Amino acid sequence: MATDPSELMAHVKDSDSFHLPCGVHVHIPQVLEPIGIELTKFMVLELVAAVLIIVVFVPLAWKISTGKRPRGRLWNFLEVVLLFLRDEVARPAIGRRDADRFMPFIWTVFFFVLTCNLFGMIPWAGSPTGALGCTLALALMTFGTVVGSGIKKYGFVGFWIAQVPQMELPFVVAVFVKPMIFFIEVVGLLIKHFILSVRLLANMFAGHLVLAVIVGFIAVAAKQHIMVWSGVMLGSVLGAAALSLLELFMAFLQAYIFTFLSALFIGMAIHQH
Amino acid sequence: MIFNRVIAGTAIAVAVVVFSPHYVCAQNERELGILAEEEHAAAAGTKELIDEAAGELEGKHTARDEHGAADNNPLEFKADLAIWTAVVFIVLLLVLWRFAWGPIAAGLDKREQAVAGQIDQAELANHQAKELLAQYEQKLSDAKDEVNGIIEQGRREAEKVGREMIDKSRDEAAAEQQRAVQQIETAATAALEELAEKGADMAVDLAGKIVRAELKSADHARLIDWAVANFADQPPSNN
Repeated sequence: MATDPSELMAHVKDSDSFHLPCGVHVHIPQVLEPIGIELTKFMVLELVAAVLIIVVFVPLAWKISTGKRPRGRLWNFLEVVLLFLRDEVARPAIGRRDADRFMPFIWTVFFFVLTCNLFGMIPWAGSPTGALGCTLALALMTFGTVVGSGIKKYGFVGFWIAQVPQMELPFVVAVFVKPMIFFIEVVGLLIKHFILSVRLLANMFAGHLVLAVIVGFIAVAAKQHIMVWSGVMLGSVLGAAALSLLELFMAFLQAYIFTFLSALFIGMAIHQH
Repeated sequence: MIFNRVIAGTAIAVAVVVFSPHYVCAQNERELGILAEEEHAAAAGTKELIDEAAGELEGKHTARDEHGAADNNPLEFKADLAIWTAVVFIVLLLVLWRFAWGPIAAGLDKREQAVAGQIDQAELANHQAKELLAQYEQKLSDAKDEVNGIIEQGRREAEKVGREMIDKSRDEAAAEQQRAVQQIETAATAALEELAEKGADMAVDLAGKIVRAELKSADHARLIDWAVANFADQPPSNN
């Protein structure tokens, strides 16, 4: 039954097929099986997201490089988002002088996360950011950028030493306290990147799960009287529509939060205590 | 927008409703299939097949339970997906860096510089225009003062010329009047003298005629009329 948690989860989580109406399952060809990788729905959607982003932004880059004024809603909208991310997210968080170097990463993270989030709004598709494998990999990208940029600026040893804030401590105390602080800071660095992935995962996963549960009420009421079932169905559909609007907002909000925190972490790495 | 969402929600609802009976039917079919297999095995009398089917049934349930338990974990981590995501992201980043973000950043910077240059030029032009405006206003003010001076000077000169012309006209009129009065006085004097001479002549002539003939009262009157008429016919004096 649709009220079975496993069945509900199946509509939210990754799988090896696309579930279409009337019980049609479109299985994904396992072309990467020889190298030991099982292709899943989220993998296909990530690939589609990447292609979509390339298809949108490469022509946009060509238009912008011509020096013409922005024309059309899409061009203006994309430019507004690009400039917002640069002027209101990256530059305040990283610093005006250094931010431009990280803009390709910031822009890519935002649009990739946003596109993956928005795929969750398409019926029978799904949100790849609702899987830990996806969000953790993205958080690792941020982690790699943070550590890499910090090491590039301060050197390998300098970066890790700089994790401990400057403190005027007696030598005897510092011998015990500073290693502990170093340990705490390093663990904190790992945890905050892990939380970065869990935050995105939880928001996207929970949102879609709630949608599935609300729609699942219809299945629960299916055995009841037709009037009861009709009322539940109407309420579920309206509730699902309202929550879909919320999910749409959350898709943008979580992409912004992920990007903003990534920029903040990068800024903290290249501007130590 | 909301209408589309309602349609999407309806589609999801319909999908769930459609899926549910299928799922139940599939479960029933699976159970029935296994039962039929058991019956077939019993009919064949092969205990091995029954054990095998039972084992298969047990195994399926166990697998589904394990599968279900695994599916219910939202933090389930799939290394394949993580590796795939990392590869897709890095490839996407490199492609966009080369073909999109680089040209976009350069284009936006170029446009910003162009706009900043245009703003600077506009501010410079505005500054120059203000300076020119101030110069023109100063010139206009000077011109007004000059015009006012010219007008005032003209007015003064006109008044002076007018006064001079009036004085001159007045003097000329006075001189003309004086000359006319003198001429009149001269003419009157001459006329009086001529009148006296004529009166004397006429008196002499009249006395002579009176002397030459006796005059009656009618003659006197006729004579006086003749004398008067004769006097009137005399041309005016040239004095």
